[in-house]
Formats: sequence, C-alpha cells, structure tokens
Amino acid sequence: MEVESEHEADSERASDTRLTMSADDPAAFTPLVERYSVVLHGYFARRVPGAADDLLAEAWLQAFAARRTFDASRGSARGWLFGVARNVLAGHLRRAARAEAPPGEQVSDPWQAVDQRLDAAALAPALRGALAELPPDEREVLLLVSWEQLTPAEAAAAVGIPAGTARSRLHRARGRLRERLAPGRPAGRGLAVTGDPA
Amino acid sequence: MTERQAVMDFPGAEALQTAGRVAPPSAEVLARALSAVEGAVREDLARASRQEADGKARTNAVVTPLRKRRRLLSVVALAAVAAGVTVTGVSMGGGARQGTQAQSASAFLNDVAEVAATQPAGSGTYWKVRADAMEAYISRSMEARYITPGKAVRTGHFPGWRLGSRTYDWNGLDALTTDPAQLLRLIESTTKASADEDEDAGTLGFVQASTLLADAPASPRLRAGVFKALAELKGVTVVGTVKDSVGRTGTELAYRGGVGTTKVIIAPKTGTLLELIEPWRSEKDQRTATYLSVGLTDTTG
Repeated sequence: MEVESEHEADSERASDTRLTMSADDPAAFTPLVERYSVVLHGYFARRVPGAADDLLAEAWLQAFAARRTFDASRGSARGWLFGVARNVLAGHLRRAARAEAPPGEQVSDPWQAVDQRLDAAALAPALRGALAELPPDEREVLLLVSWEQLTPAEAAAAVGIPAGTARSRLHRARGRLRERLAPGRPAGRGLAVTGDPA
Repeated sequence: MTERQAVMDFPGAEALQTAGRVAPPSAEVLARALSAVEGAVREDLARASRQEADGKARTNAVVTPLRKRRRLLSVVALAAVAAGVTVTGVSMGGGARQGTQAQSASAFLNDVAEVAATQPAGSGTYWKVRADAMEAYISRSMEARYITPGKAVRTGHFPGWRLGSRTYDWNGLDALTTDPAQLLRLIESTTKASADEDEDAGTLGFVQASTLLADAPASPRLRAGVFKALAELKGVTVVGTVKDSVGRTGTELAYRGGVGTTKVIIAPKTGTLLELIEPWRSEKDQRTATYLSVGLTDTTG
C-alpha cells in the first residue's frame, strides 16, 4: 500500500519486523494473518473468485513455511506476501489448466477471469479492450498497483523483478492506455466510467 | 502526486479501480486461514522441542559443527545483505595471541562493565556503525542507510536487535531493563525454538548479547548490565590478549557451544567490542565481523 500516514507507515514497519522475527519465533507470524488476510483474499477473489477461500489458506501456509526467506532489507512484508500469493495463484492456474486445457498448453495468466470481472462491472469496452491489448507482464503490475494498492516497488517484489523494471512496465502500460483512450480517438470517444459508450 | 497516483493517471483509472472491488471474506474463511497457520506454528514448535530432546540425547556424540546460516539481526549482517556484498570475511582464528589467560571471564567482564558504565553516551540523530567494509546509519524510526565502498548507498528498514525471544528497536533498547540478573534471564531464555535447526540456543544467546554490545545504540548502563549478565553466563572463558584483524589490542573471550567456539575481542579500556568471530560451516570456516567504530552522529555519509 502506498503509505499515506505515519501510523500506517509504522504498522507496515511493524509487519516487516514481525515477519523477520517469525524466522526465530514462529508465534510472531500469526498476527500477520489477521492483518493481511482481507487484502490477500481480495487478490484471489478478483482473479479466481471460486477458489479464493481455499487459496487464502494455502497462501498463508506457504508463507509460513517460507518465512525465513523474507529479508526486510530487500522489501516490505506486504510485497513479499503478495509474491507468495502470486506463486500460489500461478500453481492453481497451472493445475486448473492441466485439468481442462489440451496437453502442452500452459495457462498462467488469469486475464480471462479478470476480463469477466470487468465485463460484469460494466467497464467501458474501450478500457477493457485497451487492457486486453496490454502485454500480460505490464497488465499484471498495473493491476497490482490499481487493485491491490501496492506501490511500484511492492509490485516489483511481488512479481520478482527489480523495482526499475516494474516502473518501466507501469510507465509503458500507462502510455499505451493514454494513447488508446485519448479523447478524440475513435476507440476512446465517449469513454464512460461504466456502461457501454458505443 | 505520489508515485502510485502518477502511474494511475490515465483515462478510466478510477473505473478500473472500482471494478476491482470485491466483498471481504467471511469470518469463517478468515478463521480457517488463521487456524491453519496456528496449526503450522504448533507443529513447528513441537518439532523444535523434539529436536532439542534429540540434541540432549546426542550430547556425547561429537559431530562436525555445521550451520547453514543464521537469521541474526546484526547491523553488519543486514548491511551486507542490503549491499549485496560479503563483509564477513573468512578467517582462521580470531587474532594473534600475545599473552596468557590472566583472569577469569567473570572477573574480566565485571571489570569491563564498570568501564562501560562510565563511557559517554554521546549525542546525535543517527546511530552509526562503521564495519570493515561499510558504514550503516540507523535512525530512531529504524530506517537504515548502508554505504559501501565506492559509496553505493542502499536503504531499508532495520528490524532491530534481538535478545532472548524478543526484538528491540532503538526505543525498545532505551526501555530495556539494565538489571544484570534480568538481562541474564533474557539471554538464557533464548530457546531452541528461537534457533535454527542446526544451531544451539546457548551460542545464539551469547551471539545475540555480543551483537547488541557491538552494534546497538545501547546506553552505557545497558551495556554495563549486559557485560555483567555475560559474567554470570556459563561457558565463557578468557582466551588472552590478542590483536584483532586490523591490529587493535583486546582481550579475547570464547564461548564453547554445540556448534563450535564463538569468540569476541573486547577493548578493556573502553568496553568496546572490537570483533566477533563465529564458527560458520565448521570450526575452520569462521565469519568475522570487525567493528571499527560505533556511535551517535548528526549526519549520514
């Protein structure tokens, strides 16, 4: 989350400390579950609504098992936890793809479910189309910032890329969306917050 | 405008954000996640307890000491990670011995405690630690700034200093007891659950206390209290007068634990901890942290 208050900043730092401590003191981990479960559940619910409840528990167990790999000097607990959630989501999507898709086909981008969500929310088709045209790696960091309220650095940590790379992807994504949705362009004309502008 | 706001500056950004709204999870889902983690915590603690029991049963079976790594909250260790460099060089033995054991560890540590108690506290906004390959500056809010050779700068949050089962930030150190008996109990309360699988709790307690003496913004009274606590800790011996890696003279103490011998070199005239030498993968593979200076300052870098 982009820290906007001193209190929030302190809370985030306390989480970093708590996750660090949990390497030696497992009981220090449980308050993190209380603090971040809602946001992590939201991450899953937006991408795989039917499996969010199960994936939340799976993500926490994986995070607990991997807690010693957290390094506060490399990033925040929040970004690290979303990285764990992302791995859990990818594993889920791979399992689902193996069960449903033809052999050899890899599915790791939840765009289809995301697009259905945008459709259900009656998001302007121009924006939906513009998002669909974004490269998946740019779209992923954009949605982490927009929906999960992560900072670019936290989104980078979640995806496992350098912060500079994440900023570049975000910059490019914003540029593409601005170009595609600029007023006066046919695709962007009449763009509304919701509803069908066409 | 924040960085995030700048990124989200495109037509439809608010609509996109709104489309991402979902209902919060039910209390039952939250309880299930918490319950799963609490179960994992219990299993972890039980496994640690079993390992401790196994360790006691194998006390007489001497094996090659082996540790993978340690999650120590040390300024030098974290600075190394932040900067992506190795500052703890491999050293064969702590320093050059010049003399013989002159007094017991207890008497030496109690003497050093008296010296430490009379040292000036200093003043300044930042806590500065200068090690052999870098400098670190830590603020009261625990923001750390690490400067490495070539003046590469990294920043991050410093988690604090650990003693027993708790981690203390700068303000926490100010509030920490200075009573040697209570501090000894804290050091001895480092349980097996606090140590990694291949570490022994005694060594971890000794190293944590030594690290606090070496690189924490502890008051003279707190440092004196920790020295007095170590004076009562079993397993500490005086090796003798030695020179550290950079030629400074000090008294070397050793703590013989289950994973090897940990050594510290202390300057008796100032109560400064000059060097900490830990067995790492084996007795012949040691890690040395050399503390060139520590203290308060008003400027960073």
